[in-house]
Amino acid sequence: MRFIKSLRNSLSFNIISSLIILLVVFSWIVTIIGYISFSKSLEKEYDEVTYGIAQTAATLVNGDHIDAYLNGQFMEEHDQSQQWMDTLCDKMDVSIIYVIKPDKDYKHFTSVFNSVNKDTGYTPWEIGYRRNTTNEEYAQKYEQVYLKKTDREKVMRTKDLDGAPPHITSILAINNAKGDVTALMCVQRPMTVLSEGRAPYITQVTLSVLLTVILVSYMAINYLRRQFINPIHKISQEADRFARENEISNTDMLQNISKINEIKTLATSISQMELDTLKYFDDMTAALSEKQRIDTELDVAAKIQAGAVPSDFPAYPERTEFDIYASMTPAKEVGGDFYDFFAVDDDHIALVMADVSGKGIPAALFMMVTKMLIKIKCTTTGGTPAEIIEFVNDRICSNNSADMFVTIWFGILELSTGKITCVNAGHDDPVIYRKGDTFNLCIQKHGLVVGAMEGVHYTQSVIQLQKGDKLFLYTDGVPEATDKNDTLFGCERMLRALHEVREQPPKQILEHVKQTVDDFVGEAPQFDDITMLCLEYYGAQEMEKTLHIEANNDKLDEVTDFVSAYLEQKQVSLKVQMQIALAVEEIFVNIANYAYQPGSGYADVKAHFENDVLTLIFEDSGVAYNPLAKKDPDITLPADERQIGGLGIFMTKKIMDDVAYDRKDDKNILTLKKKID
Amino acid sequence: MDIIKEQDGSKLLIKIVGRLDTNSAPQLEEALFENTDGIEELVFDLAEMPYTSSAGLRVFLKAQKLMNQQGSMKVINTCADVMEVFEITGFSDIINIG
Repeated sequence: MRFIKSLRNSLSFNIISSLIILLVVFSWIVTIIGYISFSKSLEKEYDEVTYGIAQTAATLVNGDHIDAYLNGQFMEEHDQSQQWMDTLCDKMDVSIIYVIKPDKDYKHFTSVFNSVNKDTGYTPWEIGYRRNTTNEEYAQKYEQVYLKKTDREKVMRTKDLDGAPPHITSILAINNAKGDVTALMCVQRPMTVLSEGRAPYITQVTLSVLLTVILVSYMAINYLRRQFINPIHKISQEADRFARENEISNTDMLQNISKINEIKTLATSISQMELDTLKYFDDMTAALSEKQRIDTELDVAAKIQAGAVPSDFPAYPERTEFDIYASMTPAKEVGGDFYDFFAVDDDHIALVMADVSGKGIPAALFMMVTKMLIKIKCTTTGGTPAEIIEFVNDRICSNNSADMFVTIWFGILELSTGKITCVNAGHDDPVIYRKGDTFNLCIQKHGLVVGAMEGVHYTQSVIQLQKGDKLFLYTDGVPEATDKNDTLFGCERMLRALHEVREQPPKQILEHVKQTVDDFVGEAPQFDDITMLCLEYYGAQEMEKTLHIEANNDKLDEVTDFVSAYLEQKQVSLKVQMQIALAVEEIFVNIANYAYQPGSGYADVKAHFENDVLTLIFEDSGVAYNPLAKKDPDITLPADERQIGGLGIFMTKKIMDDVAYDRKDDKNILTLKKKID
Repeated sequence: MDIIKEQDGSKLLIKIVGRLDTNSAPQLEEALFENTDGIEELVFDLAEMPYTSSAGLRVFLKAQKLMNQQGSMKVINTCADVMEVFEITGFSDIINIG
């Protein structure tokens, strides 16, 4: 079944079978037409000949004596006519010649003459023999002739002959002298040629047509196969092979495949298509690997960029004056936004928030240059913020072939005072939180964007931060974040989001703002880089620290830890820390052991560091006692003569640069000083 | 502070691990004097003692006085900070520092 189905769908089967059907139908029509015209001409021939014989026979009959013959008169004349008619009948290859007188209704007739050819084997009718008319057709024809409606009639019988051969009967009128019809002359001839010649004719025609059909089909099939079907089959196989292998064939099978223009074009097109397809594949593969390479490079670039801005938080865990946090979310792999912060010196932190025009690689390169320029200028020759931005602007302008620019907010925070000196080169206004109040935009004088014009001068502004105040810097990616309805996030929403977490540390504030922006934007794509920085100012570093503690040896570790932590913060070397710890122990143990005996009390330990001089003050409210009054132990004595006591104070005096005792407000006040390099 | 003692006949090695201050010195004193009878050679290994205050010095002086009567004493592996303390207080003159 599948074979038949595939055969029915094959091109060659369809074309060839259609052709054969067409040829068979055509030959069948030709045969039919030939047969019909063959029959017609034969019939006409028979009709004419038979009519001629009938006319001749009619001349042999005396029309005036018909009734007389039937009455038995003039019988000699009748027999004479009968004899001539018999001769005619034999000579002319006629079956029967008969003269009849039909009844008025033409259903019966009476025989007048009847000649029968010897070969037929018929028995001739006697004169006066009455008989039924053979059929209705004869009756009608008899009537037509008898009533002179026509001169002659014929009846052809090829069917229902009861074994008789097909024959034709010509019917003529026999007239008397007055012109009246007195009898009918009928001549019947067998149509042997018609019946015998038809079969061979049909066989011949059919055979020749069949031969022609076979021949033409064979030739046509061969021609079609050679010129159409095989080439198309080859093309289709080649297309199929190419689809599977995706390779150009080694043989030039589509070359000179056919002389037919259309097929040549098809073959050429297929060959061209194969080449084009392979080229397209190659191009695609190249493009894909190129894209992959670019993706990898972008990935690396993104990492470099992310690594270029400080991203380890907490950034300055040892600094007590401030906390800082920043985040950068580029819209593409790399962005043009950046933040930066770095220590200019012990007391100054530089803060940068900038946004390069454009996005992607060019912006990222521009960003790196700008960032480097600011930092290098700051940390080498230094200068005021205005000088630094002017320097950066001039440098960028002198080599800005891409006509890009960058908006920068740049400030230097003095940690000891909370004063920020800043320059705004076309950047968004910073937001300040005043402790206990809310976040507000800090509108400052704006200068021209950096990179636009050489030699521009920038004006500085000052922002004074108090303890607990916060500074929020951002790029326009925050207020200009857009949701799917093209609504801007806006400054109002930004300030509200900041206000919601105003008491939180910088990290939480930025995370909250980012979350709020993300929630607002929803499914809409991020168009711009989102970069933020938040700084909280804790106030100037405390110069002095005090520990109020029970004067007990058990508290010794707490006291040494307190002093060590303070020294650590001042970055005092471990060796010096150890020396000072020794002095602290000696003094504190002294107080713990003697000041409040036999009861207990408290001591205050104050640490102060200024101008490289460390001052430690021990205060207690115990009995008045000046440890310095005691004479130093003699350290030259041999062991056995040495005293156990007095070594602690002696060591303290040796370690510290200055040790002083004072009794004030019922307190023992011992002040230790040491210069730290 | 931890104290590791190793006695070999009349020889006693005491290793001090940690800070020797006012609060830990009594511990050393107790450990030292519980079995000094018959000890002729007393050695303190200070390799892992980064700090000593006068309370510690007091124990060393007491030990030195004892050993002056029944044998010899020395300290070994003294770190620079502790050495400085010994020098300031003249202990480097009276204690055998090896």
